[in-house]
Amino acid sequence: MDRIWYDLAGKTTRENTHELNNVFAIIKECAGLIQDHLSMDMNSESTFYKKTNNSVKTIENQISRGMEIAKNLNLLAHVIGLDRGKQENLYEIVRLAISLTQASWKKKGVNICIKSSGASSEFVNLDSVLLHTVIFLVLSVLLEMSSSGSSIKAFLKEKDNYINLHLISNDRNLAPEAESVKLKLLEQSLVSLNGIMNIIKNPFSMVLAFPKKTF
Amino acid sequence: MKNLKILLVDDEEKFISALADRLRLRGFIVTTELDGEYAIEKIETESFDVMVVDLLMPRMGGIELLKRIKYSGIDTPVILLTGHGSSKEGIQGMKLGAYDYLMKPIAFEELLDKLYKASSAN
Repeated sequence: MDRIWYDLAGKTTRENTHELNNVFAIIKECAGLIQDHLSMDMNSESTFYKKTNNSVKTIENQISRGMEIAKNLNLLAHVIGLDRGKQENLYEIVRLAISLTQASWKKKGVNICIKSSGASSEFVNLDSVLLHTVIFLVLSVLLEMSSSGSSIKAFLKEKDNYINLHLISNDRNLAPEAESVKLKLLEQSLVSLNGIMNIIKNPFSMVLAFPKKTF
Repeated sequence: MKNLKILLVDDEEKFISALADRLRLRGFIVTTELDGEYAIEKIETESFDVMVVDLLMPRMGGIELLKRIKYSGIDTPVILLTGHGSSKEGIQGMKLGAYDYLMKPIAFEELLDKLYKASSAN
């Protein structure tokens, strides 16, 4: 039943993203056409030209913003539709999860980024949907608890047969709340399925360990 | 430089209408068709320097149209458009003989560049 639901969610997201891209394509070409006519027919020093030109540029910038969201949703849709148990690139999954969750928590002003991977291999051998669920859940709980203006850095590190995802926050007030992240994962029965999770307090640091893919 | 003859095939009428106007402003001679079936009828009677074809269309999609063009021995370069936000479909099209592909929404300058390159490659 889960598989049917994931396939449906993946297909719906993919097809709607495709439609969104078509909408953006129309708006972008129409904005481009307005700009073409402006450049040809108007005095570039006139107030009308400047104001219209600025508006067109705003439209184009917003399209770029929308395209980035659509691109991430499309990636997510492809991930949902992947075969279960397929090898997964952890770096790409975390990057995607950050991009999608950040858009939702932007108003809080919490910055989160992933540094380039220090691991020689980034592939882990876990169910793709489960892996995404864990990472989205951890990031969203972390972002929800973080104070405005704080930042979280993510990076990967290889250790024995695991690839560790380190999440380090500069928010000193976050440390006492850290256990709740663990509890949240335990509630959802996700920790035991995904190897070891350690929480080191002050400065706030969390490590999620994922079994490395053996080729 | 000679005015290039372009055939745009896409079921998104507003999109190809605006795109065609932008190309015409730059001297291209542009014909538009709303699906693959109409495009086949058009290329049987008229020749073009480059075709720009959307992948997902009712009746006949871009891949099917590309196969029909290649099967008919027409050597007009085809640039595919994909709205899926991934390069997978575009690469698949290139394996079937498409000159290149672009993702929607397109970067207009990139389209111009590919049109010129495709026509000179032909």
